[in-house]
Amino acid sequence: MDLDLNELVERVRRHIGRKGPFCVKTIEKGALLKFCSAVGETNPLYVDEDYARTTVYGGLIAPPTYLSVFSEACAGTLVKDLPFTRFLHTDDVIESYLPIRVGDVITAQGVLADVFAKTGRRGPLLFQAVDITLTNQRDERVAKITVLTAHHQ
Amino acid sequence: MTAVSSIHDIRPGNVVPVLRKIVERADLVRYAGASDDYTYLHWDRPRVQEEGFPDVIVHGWLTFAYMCQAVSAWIPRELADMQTYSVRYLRTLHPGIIDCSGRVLDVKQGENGRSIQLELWATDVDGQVATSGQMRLVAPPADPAG
Repeated sequence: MDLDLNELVERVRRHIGRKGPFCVKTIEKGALLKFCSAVGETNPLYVDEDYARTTVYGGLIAPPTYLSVFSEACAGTLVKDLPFTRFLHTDDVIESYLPIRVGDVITAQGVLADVFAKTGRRGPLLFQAVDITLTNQRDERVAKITVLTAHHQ
Repeated sequence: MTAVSSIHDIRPGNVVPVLRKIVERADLVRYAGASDDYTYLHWDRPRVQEEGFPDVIVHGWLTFAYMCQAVSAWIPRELADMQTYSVRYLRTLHPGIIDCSGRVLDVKQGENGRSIQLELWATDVDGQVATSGQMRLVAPPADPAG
């Protein structure tokens, strides 16, 4: 095989710090309810506005993994010229700072945070970690998602 | 369900009650639409079978959602909020049974409230762990007036 993994890692590492496009989404109640229905989520905190208002959250909030709607758009496009065509999604890490609420306007942006290599059972794997930062309309940091993918032949 | 009524009932070693999901291919199509994730691995059965998989692959984020549900069904978010939560996808999951559970590793009382560290897992129909995870829940300090 003529792939020099170390050379490849070095080349891709030069892109660390590269930022992706801003993804802006308004959090809509209908979209949240549809998401809850798709994951079988019946917790009234996410689906019953009257109940949610009586809780410490004061209104409907998004379920904990709803922020995945930002992961594909933000994490997928940072480094394009890889010699690998396939990838596995290996890890997701969420740090939540504030609840996401109906009506929030969330801006997300991914940044290439790390690149490293490992040799797996099926050959070389190039790992990329993308940190996606989410902020709301008041410029408050809402969450950080780290998406780790392993790219291979 | 089996929700606790007080955060003080949670102790190290406690097991997260198993949440069983029986996933159908239609659930993956539904999730694709709701999450805007149209990766073919989750719906194009002939193509994934050509690639050697037995069936379409359950979205990792969908399994993650189920794992979070297992926790919040037991420790309601009204008692303690999820601050840091993560998963590692160890093997692919396919339509069928997914069981989500976990264990309390540590409980700490600090100035900023009570922190609960959990390890989580989702197992496939054979009981093999397909996704592992970690979660830290934080309950705010009790209201001194309350």
